[in-house]
Amino acid sequence: MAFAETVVDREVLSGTCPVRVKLAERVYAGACLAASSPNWILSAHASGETPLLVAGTAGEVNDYIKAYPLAAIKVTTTLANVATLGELVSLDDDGTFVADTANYPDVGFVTEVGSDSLSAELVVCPMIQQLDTART
Amino acid sequence: MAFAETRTAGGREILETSEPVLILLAELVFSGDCLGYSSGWIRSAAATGEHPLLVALDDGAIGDYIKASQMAVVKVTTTATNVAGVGDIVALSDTGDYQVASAGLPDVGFVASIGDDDLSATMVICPQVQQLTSVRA
Repeated sequence: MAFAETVVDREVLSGTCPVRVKLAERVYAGACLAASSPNWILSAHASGETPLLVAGTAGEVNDYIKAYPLAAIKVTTTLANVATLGELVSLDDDGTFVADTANYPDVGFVTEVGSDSLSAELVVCPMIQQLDTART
Repeated sequence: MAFAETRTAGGREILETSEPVLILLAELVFSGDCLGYSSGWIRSAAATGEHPLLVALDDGAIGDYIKASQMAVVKVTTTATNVAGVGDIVALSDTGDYQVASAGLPDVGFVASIGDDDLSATMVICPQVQQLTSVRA
């Protein structure tokens, strides 16, 4: 079976250009965040929930947390859903990471697979496919 | 009105950056400017040859070496009538100012937060993103 994150138990390994953001709902560390102005929420199915940041830590409503536009994240998989090096990663409608899938936004790729095939390390930069207009 | 930066020379603040590179300037630039290359590094503005690729981390004049980065967190000044919205996609105007995304202007980042007084915006800027578009065929 294709790569899928089977348990949301993420570890943020590193991040670039941290920003401090306020949450409008509970999020877990490593979650892709979307704006719900003036705050941030878990990016999931709704079309208004465009992923732009990665949560550096877990947080509750009204918490301020550190978030990154670019992060390395370790996720949990199973043998049946093991990741493959270099594989593109999309964001499922429930906010979990899955193999590149039509109609799901691409947010990163796989850089490492655990020796036991039960984890994967991803580079995630969700803003990339949102910045799509060139100067004309 | 939509988000637009109230530009003042030296009025931007660089809060975070990715690893910097050292570049040689071909014209006057200010910290926080998006830079393009056209016979040297210049402030990216209207000309098609001035595609934004880097963010200036220092002020500098022609002939100066300054630090620049691929990604930066930049704080800019707005007015109450041009306040940013969190999550707004940010484009670069033909004068090199930051504004809300608009047809024909390059997307360079997004708004991460706005000041409590609605007079500032903190943006993640990564101008190279929309320039790197070709895939292996």
